[in-house]
Amino acid sequence: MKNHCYGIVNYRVRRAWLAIILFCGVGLISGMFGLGAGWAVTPVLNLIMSTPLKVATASSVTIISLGDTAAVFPYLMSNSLIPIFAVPAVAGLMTGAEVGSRIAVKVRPGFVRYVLIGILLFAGVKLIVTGLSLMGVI
Amino acid sequence: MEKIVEKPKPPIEGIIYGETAAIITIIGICIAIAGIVVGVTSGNDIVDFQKLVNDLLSGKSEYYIWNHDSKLGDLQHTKYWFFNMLNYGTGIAMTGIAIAIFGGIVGALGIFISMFRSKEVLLYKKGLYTILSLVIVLILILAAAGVISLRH
Repeated sequence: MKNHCYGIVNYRVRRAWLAIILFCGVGLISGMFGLGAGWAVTPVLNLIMSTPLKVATASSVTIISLGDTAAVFPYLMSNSLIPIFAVPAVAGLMTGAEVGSRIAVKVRPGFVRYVLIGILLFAGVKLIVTGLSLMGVI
Repeated sequence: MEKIVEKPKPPIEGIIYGETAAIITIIGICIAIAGIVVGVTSGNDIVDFQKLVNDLLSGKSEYYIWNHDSKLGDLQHTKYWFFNMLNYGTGIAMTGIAIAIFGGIVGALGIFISMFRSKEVLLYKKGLYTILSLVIVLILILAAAGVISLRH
């Protein structure tokens, strides 16, 4: 029989005002260039607000979902959503999020960190490629 | 064998937001799936699904698709037109999507209300988090009303 170990980490959220300013910057970049900057939320929570990595990843999902809720209304009201494609996407996303959140509780923070670094690298490269293609360089 | 220490408990605001938004979103998506099934099987929908899929696969924009593959006409330019089209599958599907999105607003409202459970929580950091949660709720309500547009 294998039991899981849940380590309790006492932490205190710091530098909330600085984080608010940085989140404004994240939103500004996202809004100006339409690149999507949700990936930048976790580093701000973890590195600036001193939130543990697992808490930061879970909190970033909440923050992104709140932002996306506000952002989806113009698309809904301007008929930019096609139900036959949107519905399976949401259903798949929710299933993946449910599975992912259960896995995240059980894996070690180091694993989460390496996966996060990989995702950030991928997102960074993708944003550079998108930016260069928008500039007509590639 | 590893020893069970204690399972960390997420904050009550997180539980309220997560559970409320998730339940309402699941209900909305179930309604939307039912709408798509009704629309595809009824054969009398406001959208021609065969043309829609063909146009999507050929790279047509969503504006072209709604203009050419649906019978909405000028009605599509009104906000929440689908609430008046619940006798069609697409109307039901779009309503389901709208309900799923509204789940986020109800969840955010839940966060704000949960702040009032104690004076300590309400006035933590001079009420900064209470004010921020109120601002989030207001932004979401204004976005839902079409007053502000936060595309990204």
